[in-house]
Amino acid sequence: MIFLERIYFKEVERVFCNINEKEQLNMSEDFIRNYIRVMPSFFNYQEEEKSIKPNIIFSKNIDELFKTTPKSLKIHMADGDVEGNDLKRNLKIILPFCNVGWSLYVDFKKDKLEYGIVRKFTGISGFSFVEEIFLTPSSYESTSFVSMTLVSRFELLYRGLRGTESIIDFRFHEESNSKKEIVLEDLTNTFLEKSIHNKDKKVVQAINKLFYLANEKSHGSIILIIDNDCSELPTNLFMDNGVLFNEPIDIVEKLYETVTTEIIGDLITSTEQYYGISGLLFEMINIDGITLLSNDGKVLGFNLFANANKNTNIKKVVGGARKRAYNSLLSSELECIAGVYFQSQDGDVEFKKAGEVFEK
Amino acid sequence: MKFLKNEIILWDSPNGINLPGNCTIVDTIESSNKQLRISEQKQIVNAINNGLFNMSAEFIWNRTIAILKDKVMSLGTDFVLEMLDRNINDSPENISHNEFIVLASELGIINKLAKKKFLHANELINYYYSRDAEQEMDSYDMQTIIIPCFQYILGLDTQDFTLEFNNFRERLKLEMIVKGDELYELLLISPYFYRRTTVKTILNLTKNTDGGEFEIVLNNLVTLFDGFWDSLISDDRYLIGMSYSEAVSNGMKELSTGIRRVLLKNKGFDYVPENLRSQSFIEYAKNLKAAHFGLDNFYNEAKPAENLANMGTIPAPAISHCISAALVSKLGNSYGVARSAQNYINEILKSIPSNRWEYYFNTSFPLDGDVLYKLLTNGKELGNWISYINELFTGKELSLKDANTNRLIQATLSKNRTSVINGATKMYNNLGI
Repeated sequence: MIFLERIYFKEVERVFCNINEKEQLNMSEDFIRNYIRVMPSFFNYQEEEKSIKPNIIFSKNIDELFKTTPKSLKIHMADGDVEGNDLKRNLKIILPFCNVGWSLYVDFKKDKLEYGIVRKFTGISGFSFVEEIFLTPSSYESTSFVSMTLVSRFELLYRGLRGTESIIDFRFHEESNSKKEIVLEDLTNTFLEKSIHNKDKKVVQAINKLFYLANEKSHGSIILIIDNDCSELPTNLFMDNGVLFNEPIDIVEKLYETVTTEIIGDLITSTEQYYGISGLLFEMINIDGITLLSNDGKVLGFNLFANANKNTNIKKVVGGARKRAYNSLLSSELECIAGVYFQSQDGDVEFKKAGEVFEK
Repeated sequence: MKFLKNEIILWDSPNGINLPGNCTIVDTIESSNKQLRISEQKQIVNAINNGLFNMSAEFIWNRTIAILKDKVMSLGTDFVLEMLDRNINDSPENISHNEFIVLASELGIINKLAKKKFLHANELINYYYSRDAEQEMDSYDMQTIIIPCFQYILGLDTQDFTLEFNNFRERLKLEMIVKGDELYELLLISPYFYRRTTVKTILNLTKNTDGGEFEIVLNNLVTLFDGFWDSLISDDRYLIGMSYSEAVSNGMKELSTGIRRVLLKNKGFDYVPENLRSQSFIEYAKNLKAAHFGLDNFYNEAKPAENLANMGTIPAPAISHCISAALVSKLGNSYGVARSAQNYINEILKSIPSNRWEYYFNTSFPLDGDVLYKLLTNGKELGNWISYINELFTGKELSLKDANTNRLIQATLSKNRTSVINGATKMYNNLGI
C-alpha cells in the first residue's frame, strides 16, 4: 500500500500566532486560520487578470494612529465578522486599490472587523503612512499595528510596533538576498553621481523613492547606467529595435524644479510634469529590455537589447534571458558603464558598479 | 546667564554709553562719535548749525539703522527670517526698520530703553518724511532722533557689540542639555520670550547643522520642547507642528522622529496643520505690519490690508498674527490712522468669531508686544483702542482667563485711560524684551 505524504508549512501558522500575541492584535483562532488559507495567494495575486501586490495593515485602534499621521486619508469600506469568514470576499473587493498607492487595513474592533484603505499624501519625497508610523514604534500603548508587504514573489514581510520583523519565505531552501534598501541606494547614488543636484537631500530622497516604487511595480527589469562623460557608445551596442531618445529626458531637473518652486501655479505644472515623466519611467522600466540612464540624472532610452558581438565585447552567457543580459553587460567591461541594476521576476535585486567582478 | 534683581536674563544687552546731560547736540555728537568719519561728522554739525534738522536726522538715522541691520543679519538671513515668522525665501529688504529694532532688542543687541527710543524715533522719521507732514522737523524732534543713535550705536566701537545671544545659540548647538540642567531649569522659569526664542532657534539650527552637531541639536529639541510644551502658547505649538509637517514631506527621518516623539508624548498632533495655507496668511499679516511701521504708512497700508481681507477665513495657526496686524492698523500711530485701509481692517476684524477673540485675548494678547506698546502712552492709539474695544465687547460675552488682560479690558470698558496705561505697561514689562 502506498501512503501519500503531504507536507504542510504549519510553521507559518505558529509564527503568525506568535505575531498576533506579541503585537496584541487579539485575532481569533478562526481568523488566523482563514487568513493562513488566503496568504499563499498573495504571492501571485490577480484580479481580472491583473497582477496585484498586496499591502495590508492589521491594527487595533487605527483611528488613534490615523490622528498621528496628518495629511492622510482613511476610507472605511466594509465591516466583517471577527472570525474572518468573509475575509476572502472583502480582500477581493479591496486589494485592487493597493495597485494605486493605497494600503488595505483590517482593524480589529470588539465585535467586528473594519476593512478599508488608507493613504498618506506627502508629495515626492515624503514618508508613506506605514513609514511615518514606524518612525516612533515604541510610542504606542493602546494601539496595535502590523504591516504586511510583499517583498518578492516568495517573501512576505511582517513588521509590528512591538518589535516583529519576520519574513515568511515560501521557498524550499535558504537564499541569500541582497538587502533591497542598500541596492536601491547604490542605484540612486550612481544615477545622481554627476548630476548638479546630487547634494540636494530632497532630490536624493525623491529619486530613491522613485526607484523604490519602480521596484514594487515592476515584474523584472534591467537598468543600465552609463557615464555621461563617454563621448559615444560602442557601435551596435544595442540591436536595432528599441528606443534611444534624440534628446534625453532630464528627469532630475524636472524633480528639482518641483521641489524648489514656490509659486503655486508653477508648482502645480511642474509637479504634474514630474509625475507624468516618472510614470513614463515606471512603464519603461517594466517593458522588456534594458532601460538606459546616464549618471547625470537623464533617461536615454528603453526597450533596448544588448548586441553580442566583437565591437561591443558582449559575450554570450547562459542563464534566463534577463539574467543573461545582466551578466553579459557586467562581463563586457565596457568603459562607458557606470552601473547595472537587475531585478528578477521573483523580486531579487542586484546592483553592480563598473569594475565589480562578474560572478557566475 | 545673569540674575539682575529678580529678573532672569539668558543673554545680556549693551546699555549704551553715558551721555552728559547738559551738553548741546553738537557737543554730544563731537564727543561721542565713534562710527562716523570725521568729514561726515563735520557735515552733520554744519547741517545742524544751519537749521537743516530733517537732513541731519535722516542721515544719522539711516546710518544707525544700517549698523543695527548688519548686527542682526550677522546671525544669518535664514535665522532672522524665521525669528520674524517670515518665509525663508523672502528678501531681507522687506524687513521693516520696526522689525529690526524689536528683534535687535529681543536678541540683546540693544536694551529695552533703546528699543523704546528707537521705535519712537522711527515713528518721527516716518512722519516727517510722509506726504502728510504738516511742518518741518524742529530741534526737539531732531534731538529725540539723533541722541539715542549716538548713545546706543554710533557712540560704540565695533568691539563693544558683543552678541551674547550667539553664546546661547552655540550652547544649543554644542552642548547636550538634559532635564534638570541649569539651563533647562532656567528656561522653564524665564520670561516667555526666551522659550519662544529657544523654539525658533532650535528649529533653525536643525536646518543648518549636520553630523554630530545635528545629533546634539536634535537631542536638545526633544528635551526642551518636551520640557516646556505645556507652557507654550498655541502659536508656538503650531510652529513646531508645521516644522513636523515640513520634515515629513521632505523625508527628513531623524528630524521627523524627534519632533514626532514630542508630539506623541504631549498629544500635540492637533497642532500639525493639514496644509500650510496658514503660512500665506501669516505672510500677509506681516506685510500689513511692515507697511504700518514703515514710511508713508497712511498710503501704503491699504493694499496689504486689502490683500489680507481678500484671503478669506483665517485658519487657526494664523489667527494671532492676523488679529495683531489688524489691531495695529486699527489703533494707528500718534499721527492718526491710515484711513484708506480702515474699511478692509474693519472687514477683517468683523470676520473673527468670538471663540477666536477669546483665544487671542487669553493666549496671544499678553505676549503681543506690538499692540501693548501702543497702549503705553496717552496718545491717539489709546483713544482708538478704547473706542474699538467698547464696540467689540458690546453684546459679546468673552471669557477672559488671564488676570492682567481681564483687568486691562475692564479698565478699557470703563474708559479709564490711566488704568489702561498702567495695565499695559505692566504687561509689556512682563515680556522681558
